[in-house]
Amino acid sequence: MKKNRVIISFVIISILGFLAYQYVMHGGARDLSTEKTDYIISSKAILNEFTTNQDLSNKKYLEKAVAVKGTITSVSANEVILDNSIICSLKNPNSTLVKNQIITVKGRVVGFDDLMGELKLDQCFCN
Amino acid sequence: MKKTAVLLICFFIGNISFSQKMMTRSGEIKFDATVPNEVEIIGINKTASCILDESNGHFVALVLVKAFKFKAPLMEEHFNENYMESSQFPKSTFDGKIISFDASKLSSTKTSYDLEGDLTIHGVTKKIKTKISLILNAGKITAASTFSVKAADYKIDIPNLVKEKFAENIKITLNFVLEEK
Repeated sequence: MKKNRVIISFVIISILGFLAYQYVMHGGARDLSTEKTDYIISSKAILNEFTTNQDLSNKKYLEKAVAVKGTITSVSANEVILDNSIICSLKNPNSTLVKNQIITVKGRVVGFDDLMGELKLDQCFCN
Repeated sequence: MKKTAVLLICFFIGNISFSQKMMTRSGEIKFDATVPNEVEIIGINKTASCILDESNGHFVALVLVKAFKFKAPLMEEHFNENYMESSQFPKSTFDGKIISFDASKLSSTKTSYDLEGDLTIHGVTKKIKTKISLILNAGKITAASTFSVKAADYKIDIPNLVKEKFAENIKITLNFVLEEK
């Protein structure tokens, strides 16, 4: 009887320990594919907002999940560039995309790079 | 005659304003605030932008704070929300000069230069002085530098409770491969 109790408590403690470890090491990550899209917008419109008022746009868009529509001007395994101005880092490599294709990319707004005049998104994927 | 003069002037003005710019948008910046025998605190950003003006050594770089990646997402969250306050200060920048830079003297052997300029982190701008090494290879310039900053200098508050887990001097390493655009 006593032995059983020891085993059970040991198992419970190890499970708790494992969950705590999982939470610390992997918890808190976002999964955009299950999140609702905050803004659906064209590449030109969002870029225009950032170039006219960066502070306001930062408040509005930073960290938000957006779906941006535009024409692919450059594509590599992990990165898609829309209209030379929206840099999208893909979450998973996608080899089906081609140049000049018009697509909608969903991703997280990382920020506006005023050195290059580009908007950066990450964790991107296309439906 | 007048026309030729105008054309000539245009030609010269064009020449002056045209300067060779080397740039990247996939520069790597890594910071390391690990204390020996403590939890590893390393953030890596592979999307830094940088422009080097070859005519005068003007060197500017920009990095978006939210693009720093950590091993643990929770650490990334704390970094953004508690320390860097990246929603308020989304970017860190450097604007400076490579001292006595001469594009014609670049070669495939590593040469070290002095780099001086303004570093802005967390909305605070400080003058820094460090070394930068440049290598020219197949039309691309590899720029690498390592320097240390103190969190307190940039008004980044680290609670006393966890202070021992953060290195006082945070090591920043940058590695940019610049190419013509």
